[in-house]
Amino acid sequence: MMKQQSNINSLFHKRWLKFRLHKRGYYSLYITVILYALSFFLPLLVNKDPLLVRYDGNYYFPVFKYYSATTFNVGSNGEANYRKLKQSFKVKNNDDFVLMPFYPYGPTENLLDELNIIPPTKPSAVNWFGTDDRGRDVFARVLYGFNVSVSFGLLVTFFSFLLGTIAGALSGFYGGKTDMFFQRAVEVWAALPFLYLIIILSSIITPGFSLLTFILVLLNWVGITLYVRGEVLREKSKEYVFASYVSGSSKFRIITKHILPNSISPIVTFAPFAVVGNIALLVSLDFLGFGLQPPTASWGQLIQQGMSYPTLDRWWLIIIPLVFQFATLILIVFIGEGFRDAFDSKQYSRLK
Amino acid sequence: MKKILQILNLKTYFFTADEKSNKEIVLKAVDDVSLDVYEDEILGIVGESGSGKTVTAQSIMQLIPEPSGKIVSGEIFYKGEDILKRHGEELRKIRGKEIAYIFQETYSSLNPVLTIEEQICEVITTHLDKSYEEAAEISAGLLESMGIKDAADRIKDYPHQFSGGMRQRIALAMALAAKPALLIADEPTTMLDVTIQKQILDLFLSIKKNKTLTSVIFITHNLGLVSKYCDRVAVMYAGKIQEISAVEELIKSPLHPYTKGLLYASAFVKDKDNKVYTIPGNTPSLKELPQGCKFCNRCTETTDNCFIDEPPLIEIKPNHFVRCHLYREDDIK
Amino acid sequence: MNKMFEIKDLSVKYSSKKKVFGNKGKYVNAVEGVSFDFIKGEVLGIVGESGSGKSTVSRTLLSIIKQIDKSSIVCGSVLYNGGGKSIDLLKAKGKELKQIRKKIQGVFQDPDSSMNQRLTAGKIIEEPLLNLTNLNKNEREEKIKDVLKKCGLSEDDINKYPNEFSAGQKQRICIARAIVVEPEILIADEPLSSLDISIQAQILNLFVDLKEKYNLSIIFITHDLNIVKVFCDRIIVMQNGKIVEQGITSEVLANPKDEYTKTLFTSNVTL
Repeated sequence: MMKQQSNINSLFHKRWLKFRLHKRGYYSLYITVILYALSFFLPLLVNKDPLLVRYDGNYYFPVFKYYSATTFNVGSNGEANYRKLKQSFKVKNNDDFVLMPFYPYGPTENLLDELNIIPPTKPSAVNWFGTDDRGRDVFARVLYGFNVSVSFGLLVTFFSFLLGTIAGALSGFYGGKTDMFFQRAVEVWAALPFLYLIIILSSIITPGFSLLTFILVLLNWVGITLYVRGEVLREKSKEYVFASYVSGSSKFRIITKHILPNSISPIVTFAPFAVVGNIALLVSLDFLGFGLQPPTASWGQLIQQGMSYPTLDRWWLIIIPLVFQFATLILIVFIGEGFRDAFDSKQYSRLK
Repeated sequence: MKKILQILNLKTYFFTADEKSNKEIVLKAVDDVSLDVYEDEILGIVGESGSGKTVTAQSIMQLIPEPSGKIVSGEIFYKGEDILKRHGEELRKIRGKEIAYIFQETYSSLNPVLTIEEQICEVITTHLDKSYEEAAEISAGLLESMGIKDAADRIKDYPHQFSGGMRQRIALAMALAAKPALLIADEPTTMLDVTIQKQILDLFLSIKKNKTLTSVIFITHNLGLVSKYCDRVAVMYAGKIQEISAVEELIKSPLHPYTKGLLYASAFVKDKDNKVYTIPGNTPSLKELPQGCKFCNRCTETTDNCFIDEPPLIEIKPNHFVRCHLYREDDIK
Repeated sequence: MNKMFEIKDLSVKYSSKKKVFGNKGKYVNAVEGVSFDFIKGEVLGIVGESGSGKSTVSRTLLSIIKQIDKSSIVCGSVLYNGGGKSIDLLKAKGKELKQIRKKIQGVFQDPDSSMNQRLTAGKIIEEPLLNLTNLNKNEREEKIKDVLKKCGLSEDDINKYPNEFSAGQKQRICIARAIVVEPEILIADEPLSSLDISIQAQILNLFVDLKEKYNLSIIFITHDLNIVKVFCDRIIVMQNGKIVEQGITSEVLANPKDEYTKTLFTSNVTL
């Protein structure tokens, strides 16, 4: 059949095989993808809401649905504290039980009434990474923060690369006035005082996750433009493009089916590093207070809380998020190295 | 006649890895090649892609990129000494001074950021004991002799200011600057227009009259050029020499089926069906060479033995060697 | 005598200094005052060295000059007499141009750079069918398999990538792509020059074969006079953008009138 099969000789497959030879990059990709996929299942693993409650003969699933505390005859408003509920069921010793997730604390819940001392508290057997200064469990916040940070990095990279690629392709392919327009746009954008703009925008509208992503994409899209433009400029004078015209292809088809697929080299090789940069950017913004606001789980915020104390007593709020950030970034950097190796067409040789 | 260069059982292999299994693959680019170059001759080495002609020439100058390639074994005697044993400083004394090399790509010999004068003078001051001023004068003279007008002015120009044909003349001047005894020219005119090609090759003929230059190795895929400009010719295929003889002899009575095929194909001779004569099949891939004679899968005159044993290179007529089962020792006249 | 092309006073200028606004740039004459006819059923050879303008002529006839260089200026007329109509190629646009492309196809010099290495042979050959015909998927596949066989390849090659083929086979794929839409005219720009000598002869035989099977009229650009002798009915000799001589091959080769032609012929080494 006529499908573009995953033939061992397809360029993509060849590059994939070459990537696999780069052990560090390959394993990093494996690990990162698995961890990131798992992080979407965090609500089932690290949560204050139990997976299953049996009360009075009925089954309840608080992890999926909200039940008011009155359902279980505790308290009058809000949700029940399921950990306390679990204790009380144990005492009662009947058929009622609460099945809590593996780690029974949530990232945004306030543990003030469960703590003996004023938060933030040090790591303990109960709260493995301690609590932050609002009494929220740090372990949960760090793990959810992983999902938030990586998602942020991926989304910002994806959309800014998308815009940048379109701009670069149009610029390189059409040349002339289009090119001039986009090149000037890139220059203007590159000259913008990025941090100031973020601070200003942040103070006017306290951004949530989506809005922050949008703002960053808006400010950052020019990154890949000139690289794609360069690739497109090179490809558009190649004979296979001429042959495509002779075959009756429209300009749109030539750009999308011929030129762009052959211009992805800079996109693929820069993407991991852009993701790394955007994650670090998010952590920095959160640290400064101009990024995601509480109660969203954020590494930068934890670090800021740790640093705001005159001495380094709150070490767990600084070290632990930093270690996670470092590990995440290192993994993605290794992936980036692997991509770069796979896409590098030059072979190294020495002449005596 | 005295020999200036003697290549004995040269083997230059390239090493790469299969993409799927990651097993090492050995490409025998030059597989047991023995060749003599006599004084006062232009020897042509003819072959298509994969023949090994360029790698042979590069092996003489030890220009094989490591670690992907290696001169595995063999000896190359220049004026009685095995130059493959020379390395570093000793090797540099031969390169350029005794044996010179011109590349196919005109920019390979020339540095785009230096003027012509600087480049030729570098060769002269390195190999001959001359000052820069003396070297500059000699350079201008060399360019004139290569047919570049207003050499004294143009010598201060950069390579990109010259046309392809002129760059090749400059490369030739640079090659001859240190007065080498042997010149290796690797497809020097392939990239040039036909009219320019003729000029450059006529130049080659004229420099043979030069006192210090004794011999030229001329590598090409064009049998027509060989017939006009060379004295003897070696035909290579799949890393081995298939036939060596004087040029006239080769054109008049080629022995090896590949040589015959190449001659007919080059001339676009028509056969009985009004089609042009061809050699069936594709040029050999060094990854998949047949057992026995390397040409057996394309040859129209095979015998059973051709698919089993590799024929040796035998002297069938005086100074006419051929590697083919069709001709046996006892056939020697 | 059916004239497929009637070219009168064709001139093509490329701008050497590009300006974004306005047209005041310096121009280089790639082709100047070129006039010739191209007769149905013949093989017309265009011979010349670099800078002669032969590639520019072929690109003009393939209607890709403007796509290569927006700022180029093309003057003169190129009358195409095909399918009962007479159209000026230089003014054709849109649907009319598409219909013309179905009739005039091309083969280029380097098979590696004239194919998108990321596509399979099947997809490469399918492209003109997709753009210029209304055939459905199965019909297209039939045509592709058929043309692969006619070009000396096998049906199984449909899913292979260009790097799996030898140089000669790659050129066969390019030729297959050109003839799959069954054109009337084939313009071949030095299609043999980058191939090994033993393969050149094979591909030339393929051209002879296809010319007969598809009733093609061929414009064959080359610098090798051996090929011209064997394959071309008439030849045009170009130098510096102008035609210096044209006529029946045997006559021109025997009695070249122009000085440049004479130099060209003597420089050309034949066995």
